[in-house]
Amino acid sequence: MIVVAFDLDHVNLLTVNEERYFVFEHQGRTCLVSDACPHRGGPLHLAVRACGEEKLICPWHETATRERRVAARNVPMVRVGSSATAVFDLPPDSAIWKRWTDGAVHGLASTRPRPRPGRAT
Amino acid sequence: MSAVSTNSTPEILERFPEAFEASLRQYAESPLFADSTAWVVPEHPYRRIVRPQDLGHLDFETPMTRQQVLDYTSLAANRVLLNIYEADMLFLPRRAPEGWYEDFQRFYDMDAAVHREVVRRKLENYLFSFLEDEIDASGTWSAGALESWLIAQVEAANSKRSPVFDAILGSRNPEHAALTLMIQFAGDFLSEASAMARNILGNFGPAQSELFKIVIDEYGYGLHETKHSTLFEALMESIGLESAPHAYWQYYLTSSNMLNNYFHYVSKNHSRFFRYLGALYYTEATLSVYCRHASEVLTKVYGPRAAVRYFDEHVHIDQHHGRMALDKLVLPIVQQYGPTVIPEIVRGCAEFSLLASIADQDVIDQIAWSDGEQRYKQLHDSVYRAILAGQVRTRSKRIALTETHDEPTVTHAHDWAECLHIVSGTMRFVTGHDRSVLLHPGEGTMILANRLHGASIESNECSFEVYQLTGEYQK
Repeated sequence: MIVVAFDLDHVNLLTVNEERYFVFEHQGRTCLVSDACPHRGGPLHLAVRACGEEKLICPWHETATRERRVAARNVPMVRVGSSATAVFDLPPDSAIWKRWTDGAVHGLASTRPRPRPGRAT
Repeated sequence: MSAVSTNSTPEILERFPEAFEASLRQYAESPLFADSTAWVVPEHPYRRIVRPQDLGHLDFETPMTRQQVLDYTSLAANRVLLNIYEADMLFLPRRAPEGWYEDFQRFYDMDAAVHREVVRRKLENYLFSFLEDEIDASGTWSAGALESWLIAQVEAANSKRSPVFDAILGSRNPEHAALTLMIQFAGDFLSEASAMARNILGNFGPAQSELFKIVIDEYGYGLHETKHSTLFEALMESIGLESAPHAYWQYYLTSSNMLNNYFHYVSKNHSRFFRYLGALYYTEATLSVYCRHASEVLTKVYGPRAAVRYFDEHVHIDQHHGRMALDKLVLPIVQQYGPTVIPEIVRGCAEFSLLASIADQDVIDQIAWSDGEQRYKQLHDSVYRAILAGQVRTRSKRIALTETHDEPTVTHAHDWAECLHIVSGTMRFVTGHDRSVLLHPGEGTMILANRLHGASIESNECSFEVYQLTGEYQK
């Protein structure tokens, strides 16, 4: 197991051993979910929300996935203010890459205000 | 996987909002909680000021936010709530001073019990709801993930010395700074593990017996001289402090009361038992390292006269308690009841960690505030001139007050900065136990937002002005 700490004001996309995870606001809760579209692995952090529906449209094949299903593919995470810690069932020498992306899903789905100027939303 | 929120205003209070106000008024109007001229009260464990005259003007309806944790409404709510919780504990005075039995009867009055319950629920909602917004536990948890996360939190906390100790050693008056911290501890340590003991009754299998072992250690195996609170009494006395519970009630900071209340909050109502376990693990697993630093710093500040056995005992025993809390309590409970209980355990750990960090900063700020009493007295001169010249914005017009020698201003805090100016008479402006500055006519001081302070009038009468500041001076 590894525990990864990050600041939600500066990080919303994690790559852990080449698997991507993104910060996703779902039903008022901040989650860290798999970025791979269940269809063919497209980048869900770049998805857009289907108008009037709780679905995300993957940019690769425009496949719709229910937000509930996206949120269910999650990693244990704790948020305290803007600080987060997530737990991955991976060996300690795993490669971890943290970054910020202006992904569409984050902007559309987020309910948390983001103080970082010029980013997202 | 969502944690069940148990914070909300009970329906009965929503239907009858006046019930809360009436109960709060009746409960707080007890003579036990009235203003007092005594700054330190070692003889009467039931006399704990709450400034009842303020309570009707405070809004406990809308839960406070993270930014309001140190505001005066929070201090007032925490003082009342601690009195309510501790009516479940037994305190007896060491001797039998005049009036003690009447105090005793009032503190545990059965009619007041009804008011306590009405008030408690609302104040808990006011004080602790912000934690629901501040902390999220999401995702699909396993026992392994929980264990890794908990250990990571403890390792992070134990990897560095608390900044409180740096503040003490860097203080202009390290002895007073250390004393300030010990007074904050006293509210909890002199009745140590009382909240914990709320959780040991009933029947919940092997975990109950494991928790009982920790309680036994805390209570010194029935030997009074080894009871942890007895060790803390010896420490208090060794550095010249009174050792009776709540002798220094007036000097407890908002966050110190809140930490104390938190353990009662998660223990009084057993629906929060799993949250309690997370908080218990965090505190037991971090206390060993914390106490090592406390012992070192106190010895450095006070020399060998500081009876640091209290801390040295915890350096040892809390290595066991941290391990026991995880291996014998938390993990077996998760194994038995499954992942349903994990979010609450996580939440308890995160909540207590957050409150502890708030409390650390509160003490640091109070130490700096006491250290700066002469600087803030000098700063008054330029700020007062700027106010008169209209160069500083104020929240309201000048507030002119006159108080007499027998009118104490017991400790409190403001949500904004103030400029205090003495017109006539002499005021002793108090920023902590045994820490004050005399203010004469024409003098004054700046009062920082959220900083605990009080005053006594040294002349027969004292007239003074108060200006509530905004803008750059607001905090």
